[in-house]
Amino acid sequence: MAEPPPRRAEAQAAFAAALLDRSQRVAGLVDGHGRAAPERFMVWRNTMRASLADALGAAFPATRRLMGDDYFRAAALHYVEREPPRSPLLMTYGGNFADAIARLPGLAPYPFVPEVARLEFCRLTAYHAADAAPLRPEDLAALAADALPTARFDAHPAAALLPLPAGGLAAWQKNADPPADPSPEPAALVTRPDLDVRVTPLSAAAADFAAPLLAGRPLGESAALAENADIVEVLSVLLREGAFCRVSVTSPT
Amino acid sequence: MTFAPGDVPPRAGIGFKHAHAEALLADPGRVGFVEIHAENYMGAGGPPHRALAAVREVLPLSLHGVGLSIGAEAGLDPAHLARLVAVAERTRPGLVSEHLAWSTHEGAYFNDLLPLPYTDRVLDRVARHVDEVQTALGRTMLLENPSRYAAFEASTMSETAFLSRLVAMTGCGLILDVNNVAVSAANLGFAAEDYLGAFPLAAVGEIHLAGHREDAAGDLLIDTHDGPVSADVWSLYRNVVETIGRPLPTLIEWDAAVPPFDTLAAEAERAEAILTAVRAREAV
Repeated sequence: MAEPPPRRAEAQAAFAAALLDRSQRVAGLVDGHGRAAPERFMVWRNTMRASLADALGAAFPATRRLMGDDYFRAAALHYVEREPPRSPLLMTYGGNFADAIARLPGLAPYPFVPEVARLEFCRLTAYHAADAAPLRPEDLAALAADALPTARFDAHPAAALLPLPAGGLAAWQKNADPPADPSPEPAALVTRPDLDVRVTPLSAAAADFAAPLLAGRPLGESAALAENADIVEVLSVLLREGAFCRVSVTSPT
Repeated sequence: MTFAPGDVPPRAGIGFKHAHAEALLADPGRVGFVEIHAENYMGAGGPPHRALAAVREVLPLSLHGVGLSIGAEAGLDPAHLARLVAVAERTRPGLVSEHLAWSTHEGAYFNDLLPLPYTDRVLDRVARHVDEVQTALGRTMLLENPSRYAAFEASTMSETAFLSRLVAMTGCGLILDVNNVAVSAANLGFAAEDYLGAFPLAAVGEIHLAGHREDAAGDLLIDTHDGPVSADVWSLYRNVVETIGRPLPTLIEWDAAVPPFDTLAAEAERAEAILTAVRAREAV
């Protein structure tokens, strides 16, 4: 069966399709003397692929270290072809890279690797999140004690709670730059109270309490969902790390 | 102290890199201005905004977009244009610029400046988009000549004719990227001097200088922005600034394999020396 004729390069749909699909070609590119020069299309395809794979490499350094440069590069290029950026804001690129590598058969025995990618993207998101003054412990002390169970917190724009049950937190800590002592905890709180992104290990019980609280559920209800958590201790950690930016209570009527 | 729009001085500037913030703030007088890629500051907040705000207190700013896709067949993305306007409002740049290129199609962003054929139809489209951007910004913008790796059989006019007509239609200004001229000339086999002779120099509001390198096969020059400005680009730059006869804001672009601040500042000082010579001649 004959190959379909190449589509015209000046049609952006054809140019775009050939950037992403290496089996496609375009016609109508010439050198400076009017001679057909289809091979020159490769400059744009190579630049696009390399620049986006580089962007992923920069966004996921610990994941890259864990996978090795060659395997990571192959996975990144595979992702670039299938899921090119949907926005010119490259800082948002790679939001589902963790899901993409979780589907790689070669990584099936290493479920902590996609977790590391998830944590790295979460840190990047926190880095670029809106600035806000974190809620301080003394802001809470000002509330009437009997109103406390009704207290609802607004999560700080940079704050996120990430379950990492397969050991992703320790794997990230060991491969961070500089490396940190690995924690066995199955969850991480990511915050950026001012300029520095912070990653705080949380136990399963602490995460059970922090999750509803960060989602805006009242303090009393959140505490009831986490019987095993030391709620005073966890709440003080959340406040210390800048997880919230506002608190409101419902006045007793 | 802050700077009002329109005050990027005719001096040499550098692309602002977050890693250079401290060195730059310690000695801002070494450069005349900084330029940023607008998209890098379109996040909601965080360290990039903070570092830029500090630099903006002491240096004029040129805002250079890389993702608006002005040459796209589809219309401009209103959300992205709104983001560009918001960055301009926040950072009060003296210059706002973009590229004669496209980078987005049906929502996919290719992170590269993709080429356009030079035809009446494309000219009308680009002019419409430039009008739209200038209306949204409430000011004129500069558009940059691309680095070219191939030409389109479909083109019916030269790049310089296309740019001249675009300037006449929209009132926009131009960035003359001398490195892009050298790269395009080598790749398409024309004389850079002839191109510059046909370029609408009166519309130039800023000059870009950067490094390039040969591709693996040695057949083409690639616009890599990863090294010092080459000797032939310095020579073209000196000649074109003398022809224009007035100093212009001149940017050293070095975006990959970024060197220490001192290396970048030294490169800017080399451009500054050429601008100073032209300024001295202008004063006579």
